[in-house]
Amino acid sequence: MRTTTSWLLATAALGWISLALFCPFAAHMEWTAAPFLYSLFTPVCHQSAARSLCLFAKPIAVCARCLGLYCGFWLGLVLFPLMPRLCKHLLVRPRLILLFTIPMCLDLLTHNTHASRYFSGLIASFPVALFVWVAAEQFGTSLHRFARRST
Amino acid sequence: MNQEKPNMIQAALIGGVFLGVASALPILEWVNCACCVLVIGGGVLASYIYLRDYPKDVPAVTYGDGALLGIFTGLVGGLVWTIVEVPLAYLKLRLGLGMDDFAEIEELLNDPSIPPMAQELIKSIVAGGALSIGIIIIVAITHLVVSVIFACIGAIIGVVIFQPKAPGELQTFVNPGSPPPPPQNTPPEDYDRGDLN
Repeated sequence: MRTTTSWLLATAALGWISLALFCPFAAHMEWTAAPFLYSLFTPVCHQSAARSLCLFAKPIAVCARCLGLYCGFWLGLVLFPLMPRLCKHLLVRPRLILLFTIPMCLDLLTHNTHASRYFSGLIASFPVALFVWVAAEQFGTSLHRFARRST
Repeated sequence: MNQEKPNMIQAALIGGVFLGVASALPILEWVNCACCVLVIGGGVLASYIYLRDYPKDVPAVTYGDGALLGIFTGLVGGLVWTIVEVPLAYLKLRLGLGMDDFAEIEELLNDPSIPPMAQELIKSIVAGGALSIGIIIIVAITHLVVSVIFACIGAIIGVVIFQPKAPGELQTFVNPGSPPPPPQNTPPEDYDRGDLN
């Protein structure tokens, strides 16, 4: 069941990913804003060019693993409303999300590539989207209740 | 049953101070490059502290509570991060460290392709050096936004890991906006009937 909250969260996540993907385009076009756009992602990623995927021969604003984490989160927000059985399973046994981080842990310990970093990040953040969605729904309900009580 | 949930301010303060101080300290701050792990860790720590002494006679903690805890933690952490980082940046400048950033800005100011208006704006921002109000405001806003988003996710992950039992308020997910059912250890009966569709 898709809700307004899931749409809002998915749109926000897509906006964040789009901004990271827009940076190499801005750098390719040699726009003045490009360094400032890249600097927005400095607190959240090392931005090492050697560990980042490239667009227009310029590195994306975040490394391959971070991009995978963001894409996995977005994918979770888009796909979980279509997978009620998996939702139920994870909500009943929430600690199962730790299993999804195993590929990323293994990837950190072994020789890794752009693809392995991206896909292990994607798998790790995929289930987190469900809990963030549920949290946002519950938080919204609490706010609604609080507003109704105070009026 | 007591309906009052415990106050989350203490947990948010501890998690926020950890997040802010760890993210601002030189060398340790580089750990954040690994997908903001210190900020997420601050949220997880806040959840752990909140749930450690969580009384049994109050409604079960929900993921929504985790989100609220994460927002508080992120706000405290963002403020602490800025408060600790600004004097450290000033000290670094006095010692002549971290001058590469300023060399980059100077390069930018000498670039003829940059419009004069943009150059003036950059000049006015950096006019006061590391402690100009412009830079402090930009840094504070960036830290607050990053802290709130990632600490919120961290606190929700913390609730997932440390909650003593499965949350009872699954109904709010099934039918958002409806009043939550009383807390319980197992999902509601209608959960099995495929009501998610």
